[in-house]
Amino acid sequence: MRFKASIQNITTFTKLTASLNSLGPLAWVKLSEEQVCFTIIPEQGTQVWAVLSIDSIFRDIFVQSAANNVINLEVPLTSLNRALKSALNATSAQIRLTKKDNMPMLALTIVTTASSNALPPATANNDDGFDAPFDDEFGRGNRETIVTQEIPVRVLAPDTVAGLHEPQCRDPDVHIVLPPLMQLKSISDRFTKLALADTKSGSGTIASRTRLELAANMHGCLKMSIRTDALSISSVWTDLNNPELDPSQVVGGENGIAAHPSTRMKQLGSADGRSDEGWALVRIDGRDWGKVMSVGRLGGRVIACFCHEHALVLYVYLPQDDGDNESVLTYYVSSYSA
Amino acid sequence: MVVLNFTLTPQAASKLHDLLVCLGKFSDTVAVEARREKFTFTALNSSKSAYAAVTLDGKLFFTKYECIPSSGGPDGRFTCSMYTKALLSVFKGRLYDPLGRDGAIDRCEVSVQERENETQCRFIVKMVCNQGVIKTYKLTYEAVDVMHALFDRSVAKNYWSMSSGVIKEYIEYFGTKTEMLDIFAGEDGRCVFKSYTEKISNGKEILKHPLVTAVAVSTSDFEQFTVQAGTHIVISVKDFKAIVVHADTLKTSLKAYYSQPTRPLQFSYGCDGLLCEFTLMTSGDYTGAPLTSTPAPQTLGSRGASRAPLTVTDRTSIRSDMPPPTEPASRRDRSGRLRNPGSRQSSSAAQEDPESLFIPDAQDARRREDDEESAWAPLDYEKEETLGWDASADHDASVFPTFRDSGSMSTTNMSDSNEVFEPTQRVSQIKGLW
Amino acid sequence: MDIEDPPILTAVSSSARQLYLLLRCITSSTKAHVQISEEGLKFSVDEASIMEASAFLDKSLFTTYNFNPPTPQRNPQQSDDSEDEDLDPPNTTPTFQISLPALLETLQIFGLTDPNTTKQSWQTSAAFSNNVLGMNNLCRISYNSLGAPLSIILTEASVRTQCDLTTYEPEYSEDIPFNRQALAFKTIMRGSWLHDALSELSSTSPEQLTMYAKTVRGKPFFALSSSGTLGSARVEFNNQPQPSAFRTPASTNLAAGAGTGTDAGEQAPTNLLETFQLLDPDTVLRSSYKFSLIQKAARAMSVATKVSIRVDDQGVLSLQFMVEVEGGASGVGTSSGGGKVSFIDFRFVPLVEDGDEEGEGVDETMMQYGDGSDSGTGREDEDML
Repeated sequence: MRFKASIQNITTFTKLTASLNSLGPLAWVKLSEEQVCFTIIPEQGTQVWAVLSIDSIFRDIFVQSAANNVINLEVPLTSLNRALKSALNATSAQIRLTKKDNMPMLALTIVTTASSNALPPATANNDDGFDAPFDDEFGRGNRETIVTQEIPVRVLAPDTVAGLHEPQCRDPDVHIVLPPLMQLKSISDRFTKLALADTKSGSGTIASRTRLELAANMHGCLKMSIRTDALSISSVWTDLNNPELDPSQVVGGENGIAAHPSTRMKQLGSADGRSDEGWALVRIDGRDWGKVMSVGRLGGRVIACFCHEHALVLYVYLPQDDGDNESVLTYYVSSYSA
Repeated sequence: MVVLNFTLTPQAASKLHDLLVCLGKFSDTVAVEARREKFTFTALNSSKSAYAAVTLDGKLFFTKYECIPSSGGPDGRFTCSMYTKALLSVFKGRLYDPLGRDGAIDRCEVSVQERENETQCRFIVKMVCNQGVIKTYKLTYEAVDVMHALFDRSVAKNYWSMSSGVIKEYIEYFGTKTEMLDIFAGEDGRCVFKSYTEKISNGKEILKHPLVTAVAVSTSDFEQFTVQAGTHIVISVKDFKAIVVHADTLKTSLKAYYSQPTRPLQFSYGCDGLLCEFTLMTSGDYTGAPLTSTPAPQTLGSRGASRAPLTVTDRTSIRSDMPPPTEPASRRDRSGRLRNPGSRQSSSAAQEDPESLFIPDAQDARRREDDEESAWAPLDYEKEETLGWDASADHDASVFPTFRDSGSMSTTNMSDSNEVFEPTQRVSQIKGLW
Repeated sequence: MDIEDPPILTAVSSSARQLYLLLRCITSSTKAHVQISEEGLKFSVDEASIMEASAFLDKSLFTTYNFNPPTPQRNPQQSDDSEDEDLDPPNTTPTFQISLPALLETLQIFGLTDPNTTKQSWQTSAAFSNNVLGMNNLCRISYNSLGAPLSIILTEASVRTQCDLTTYEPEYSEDIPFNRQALAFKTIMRGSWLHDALSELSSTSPEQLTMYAKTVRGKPFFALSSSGTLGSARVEFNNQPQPSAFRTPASTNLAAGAGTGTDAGEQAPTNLLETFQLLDPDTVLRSSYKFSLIQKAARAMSVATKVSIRVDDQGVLSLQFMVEVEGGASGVGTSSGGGKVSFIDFRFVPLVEDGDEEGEGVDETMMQYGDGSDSGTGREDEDML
């Protein structure tokens, strides 16, 4: 079993691991020559299934295993993220699977040159006669530093992962491009905070208090609201984009689109967001949603698919994708019942 | 009654803050030793594996310095112990405002009011600010005797020196929860700083294991590097970080002196009348048993101590032990006599002691959050809004250790700490000694 | 409610941030009383009847401020005299409670705006030039009828947020009586000095704060002190005897309200204590308060340009903060030229003294005077204008 790769895009990889880490501590990582998959299945809350084209993070990848050259690992995301952060200013970074004391680990080897602001100080202030006997005339070398970070991992047998399946969902009623996630996150965080502050003395479990209602229509509107004893608050976004469905991607082509739930939803509601009709609504936990929104740091386009009172599926596309090897993170958020 | 008065510039007061922050990472209390020519803060950590001494030169560091100990003539001294947090609440950060804005301090005057009745003893700090604001603090202190660790540089054959700013870059690579640091002088012209944690190797726990980080540096990046190739020396990451961060506030070079594993190592740096020396216990066989909590006997090394007119720390009272500086005098004297200065067994006792010395400072590490990143992090809904009032954790009065202003604080408090550390500490050592 | 009736209140502000900065100064309890009047909105909180705090949002802070008193009966003489508010039937100046934390959270809904939105052109228009935290949005406050929710509507680019705050019945409690006719002590200083002093003292984790005022050789002296388990701390304020600018406080500032505010510009660099009045200059005024309560005014101290510190003959402490607010409503006449000012008031009941403190050398007990009790309520800005 061998895995070795150069890291092509440290920043993306770092942000990806940080985003995933907010949902769970461990990721199932599936490595192959074509793609790398990250899956987070927390005990409760949102699942993430991410499929990345190799180029989006790696270069010169080499994967070899007895199981069709696929390697499955369980990786602690905090450590991986921490290790990657130390590579942010690296001139090069390599990652490989290795064993030490019979324990598997991912070793990240980073070559850096020190930044100029940390150059040695003048020796004038030295206090105790331990001045350098030779001067700087030989220079300080190239100041190239090699940092090795070892991340403990677990190798997962093919049977272990065979039982893990990506969730399936019915055709969505509404699909819409979300507004900038930083805006959405800051508002939903406030809402959640309001709910927590208000009901400190109130009743119900925390999860029932922080229940956000998120709704969208096929006229470019997104609505987020929360209700507590002390207030009821809602924010409405308008002029968002409802992307057209691609007939080649829909079962039944043009006919399939005509029968698609979103086509019916287009007949209802209005673009100013004031109508009560035409909304597909889900109830989600505000704190879980805050963790999901953490993916905003990747800066990709996000399409939200609403299955009314059932589920919300987010597709997050990495920004640098050229369209051929698409990398997409899929978030599955279940709706609570009323 | 002792006469002790000194005056600090705002810059010097700010340096006092920085050094107290550093000492606070080693101990809750600092001991003060004032002599006619100099003023020293010392701190010993609870596992007695690290001893810090910061010496301030009477002429160079202070604007004005006057110390007339009540006894002892030219060698006399005034000693006491105070809570680090209490001093930090007075010597806050940002005391020095280069722009001299309203409320910036003009000077800081310190005096000691010593009374027969210990409850009336006060360490008085007066911050004279511009525009007529005067802030006066009266801190309680406790009279203790102060001890010093001895370190014999003449036997420390290995030494290196490096810009603290460069080392600070290295420590930023270290994983947040690691405990130990192995400094290894390779044969290939490289020196490796490796942070790691003792293995916890069962089942899924493996994945919780902290990162192992190795930073390989060309020895030519050091200002000086004279270390026998192949030498491993292991100290606490947390101590190392505290020292490097403080050295970096002075923008000075950090120098290390050591001989071999299980013998003490000393870091030294300083400038402008301020000299910092940290004497740390080491181990070397880092794949083997965890580090021990038995620094005391071997720290000073019998050879160094007994032959030690050469010792660099000429100011020290010659003891080969590192007892807690705040230990009541009676007790310390006794333990001082008890201790066998020439114990050779101590190093083996060190190996056997199952108690690990080093406690990771997870809290400290967690604080180092990336600002930009935190915006994307899930919100901490409990957190107060930032704008506002006394957000500095350093000033958080609620975390102060409390003691009653009754004069009995010393004994109660210290016997507590003895209860905590003494059993593992002493018992194991004494077994080895007798 | 008849649809034909106009809403009781419609107020529009171009800066939610401005309202937020003022209201957060008094945030200490969960519910606040809101009183709507012709002059503006008064928000007040109290703590166990030993502390009360209020912030007044003058109608000049709003670009639009329409108040239609509810129909029942309106006292025609009420409108201009805020001092008499409490004498009027409550339904002509509607009073209710809301959750103050909820209001504050709502006002900063856009506290963390997305960088993408801040780049948009609408925010660079002149009306939004004070975009310090990206919180300058159109903010509409409305109260349609008695018992209706208080609605806050924030509009920003393509997002519109509406928050309906539940209104609760007011709980009438006695105001802390403060006798402005019988002041034992009064001084005016910069809010930041007081804030700094308080944060210094807080490091001793004290239970109580003691205030001293005296005249030393004709010079004013004011000090705050506290002590805790680790020691004691004291912050003194002395007017420095700088020959060029020194003036005896008694000569110029005795008349209350005599333009001390305008003096500030010239005098601030030299005189810490702009005004200094002691009823009895020969004695030391000493009065103690619960530290944790005084601390609740810390935010007001940190933003206030000036604070007027007054102690009446019963030892009741009044802290009145003058807060300069940014530009705000354009086109509405402002009396004070450049920036507008708002006022935050705090009142504290003194602690009963129990002997004197060790080592402070001040042993006078509080001065006692007559039994004056006047319930001063409402705005008290006249002292500093």
